[in-house]
Amino acid sequence: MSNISVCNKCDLIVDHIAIAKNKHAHCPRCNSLLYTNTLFSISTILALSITGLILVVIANVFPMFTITMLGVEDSATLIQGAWVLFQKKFYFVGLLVIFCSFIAPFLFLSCLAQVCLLLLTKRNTPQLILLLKLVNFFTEWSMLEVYLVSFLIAVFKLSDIADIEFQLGLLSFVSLMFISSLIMYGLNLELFWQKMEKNAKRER
Amino acid sequence: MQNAKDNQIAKCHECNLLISVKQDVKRQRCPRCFTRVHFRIPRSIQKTWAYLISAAIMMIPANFLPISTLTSTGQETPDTIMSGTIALAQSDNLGIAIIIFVASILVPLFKIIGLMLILLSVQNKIFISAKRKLLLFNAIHWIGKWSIMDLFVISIMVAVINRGNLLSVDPGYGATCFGLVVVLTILAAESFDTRLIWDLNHKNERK
Repeated sequence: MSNISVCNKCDLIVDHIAIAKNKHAHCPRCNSLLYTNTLFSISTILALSITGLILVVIANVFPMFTITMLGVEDSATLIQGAWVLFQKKFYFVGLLVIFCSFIAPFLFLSCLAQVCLLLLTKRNTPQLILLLKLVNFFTEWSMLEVYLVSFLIAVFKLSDIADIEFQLGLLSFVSLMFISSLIMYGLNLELFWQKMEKNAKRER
Repeated sequence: MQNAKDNQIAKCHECNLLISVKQDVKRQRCPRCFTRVHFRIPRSIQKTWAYLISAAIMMIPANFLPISTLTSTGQETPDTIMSGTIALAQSDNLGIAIIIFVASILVPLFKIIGLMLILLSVQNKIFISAKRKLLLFNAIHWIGKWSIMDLFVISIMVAVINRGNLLSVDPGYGATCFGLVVVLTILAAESFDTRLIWDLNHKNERK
């Protein structure tokens, strides 16, 4: 069935035509994206996700900003915000915030890096399928760009009552957001599934 | 125009593999990723309604309970989403007030009402054209995550403004309800199968 493709949004059967690089194929009935030819290779994705993982560490070790209020200097990291919610016994909100702003992006990158490594070294472990499904799941829940906008709003609100100085953590957080958007843009999981199938056939 | 379902072709929900399904085989699994194969998300309309109704109910406490409490020199002022937005607008932060208002009041409302309209239309209760339905759904899907913004802002404020009785911000139970609204509306959009829109068109054309 490689000569046809099916639209994800409206279930229309379309002839699968080879398209030029950097072009997209759209569904003739509902205009949704069918398939693209702008994909990063597996090693590009590996490089990007490792970069992302390094940035996650920096963004969480170093504070995003320091704040001077009522003569006291204080600094905040990404996780701290959620942690204080836990301390105040708002477990659900804390969990939601930490999941969407830290856990989901982090696990997305680390699962993706593992998948790339396993595929490139042609090791076909059973976890590979699970990891690929997890990558799919975490893309939905990673909300770095929303967090960045919220951060800017919080800074605006705070700037009336306190002095704020940006720190290294913010810089790496912004870079992390760009890296993850780049991955989302160029990631074509179909390529990964096909590679997995090919490796599995070789083993047999 | 041919639907894949009519030709016994199913697309795997996880890995997008095309699988030819024989009618008699129930509970077939995808040969590539071992996920259960379905033509459509099972009980999609029921699930979406369930999530939507719960979200609509949670909207009430989310908007009326205080979402955060500001303590300034011993005086506590609880803020709901709306009163917080008004306070922002009055303190010359009109731009931010508009962003917060759109993200935490208009967007959840738009999501709930929009999805309800799509569901009613798929169930043949009201008429909206298929293209419009999909456009509306895509907008809901895209805008979905942005309604969580207010919770992120609160988490940052709570973390940095913490000077005991002099000045501090505490979360309120409205925040928990609002978080539930966000999660429930995202789950509602996830469990709706857009292919149902075109199944309906198909049925209507044949009549």
